[in-house]
Amino acid sequence: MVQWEIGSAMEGGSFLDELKWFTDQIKENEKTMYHLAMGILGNAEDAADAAQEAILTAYQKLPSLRQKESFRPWLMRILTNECYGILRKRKKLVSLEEIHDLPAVSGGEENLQLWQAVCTLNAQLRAVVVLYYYHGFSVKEIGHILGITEANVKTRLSRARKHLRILLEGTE
Amino acid sequence: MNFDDKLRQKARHEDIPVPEAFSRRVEETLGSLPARRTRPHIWRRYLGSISAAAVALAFLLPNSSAAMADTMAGLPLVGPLFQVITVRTYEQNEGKNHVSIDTPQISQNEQSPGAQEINSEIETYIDQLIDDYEQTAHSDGYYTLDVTWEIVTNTERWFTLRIDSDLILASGNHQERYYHIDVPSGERKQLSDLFAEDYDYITVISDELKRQMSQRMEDDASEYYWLEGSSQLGTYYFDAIDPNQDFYFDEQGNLVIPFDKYEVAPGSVGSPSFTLTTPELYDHLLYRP
Repeated sequence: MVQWEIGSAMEGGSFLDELKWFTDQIKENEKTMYHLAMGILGNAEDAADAAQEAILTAYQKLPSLRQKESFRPWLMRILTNECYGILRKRKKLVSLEEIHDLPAVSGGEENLQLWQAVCTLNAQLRAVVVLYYYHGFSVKEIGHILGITEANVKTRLSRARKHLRILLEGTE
Repeated sequence: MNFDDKLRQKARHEDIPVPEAFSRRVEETLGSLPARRTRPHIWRRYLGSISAAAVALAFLLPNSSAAMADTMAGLPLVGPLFQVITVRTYEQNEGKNHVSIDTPQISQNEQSPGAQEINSEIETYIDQLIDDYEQTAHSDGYYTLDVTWEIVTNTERWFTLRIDSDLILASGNHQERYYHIDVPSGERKQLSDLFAEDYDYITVISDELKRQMSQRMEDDASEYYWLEGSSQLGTYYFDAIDPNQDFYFDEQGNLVIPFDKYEVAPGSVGSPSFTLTTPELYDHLLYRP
């Protein structure tokens, strides 16, 4: 495992290199950031707010990142926290946790896009589907990003699959 | 191919484009990053001094506020019974960080249980704001917090104090808190106190709010609220107010319901407020300003 010597970069004064590296990483992960924030928040402008806060926080906390290979899940965890902060402000909104309470969408439609179906899931399930199916994160990484156990990730994936199957194929 | 593989394949072939506005915001944020970052340990020391100040504030207030109320000249007199003073202004400027917090206290000639309760709640609220600051402030700036207060209503019958908190990190966040006193009794009042127990004010107010939100969306396509059936969020929508939802009376004596940013609408709508016009509601009102 390669250690990222960010500490020596600070001591040595090569901040510009570090900033360039950080900028490249953010650009590379922009799409994932958008999908995750949209998955949790369901609104593009709030997703942009969350992404902006996450970038600032990540840059400030960069020295605490020990391995540069971990940057992607680390960044997504920071973004998730920012999204949850916005969600907490929506505390007066109704949250429907149970699948059977979700808005009705007719099942078995061949042309129904996966993303349309994903949008009908609750925020918890949307987040795991986005990370797992759209961006290839492992169950372990998703657990780290969302701050939940691997078993919990698997449970959420299973619930999401069950609901998506109804929507996409019309069967359980 | 099992269903799991099908989902992977679908996800791989689906292109969910990133909107230009999102990319632009990312670009702007990256462009604002300084090439040199303050070291974290300097920041921690700085926060320590703020914590100490906050603790000192908490202990000094009970002893100093009453004396200040009696002796300070030129205090803004806000009514025959209640006055509000800023017992302490906390200011901190470090780099691009700017924090300014006015801590108000309500004082009165005769002890009012409502005023005491509110003063205590204000202290807790201000402490919470400082805690949030310690948790989330960025070492290179970006953090601006202004906390101010204003008397909304001050008559022989009703007193309302509002505390405004404007927090700007990357985007702005305005929050308002309202504190009310029924002047004749000196008691603190909340929304649930304004109506008789058997009156379902929650449904009446919530229905009125939903009606107004729908109307605003019809009138202006750029204004969007999270309502059942039309919510962009699917599983989240505004259904009903809290029993003690924030409120205030405007100058005409109308009830106004304010919401914080993100509470019932996307951030682009800001902090919306709604003036209630249902005549039935006013027939049941137990207190008026």
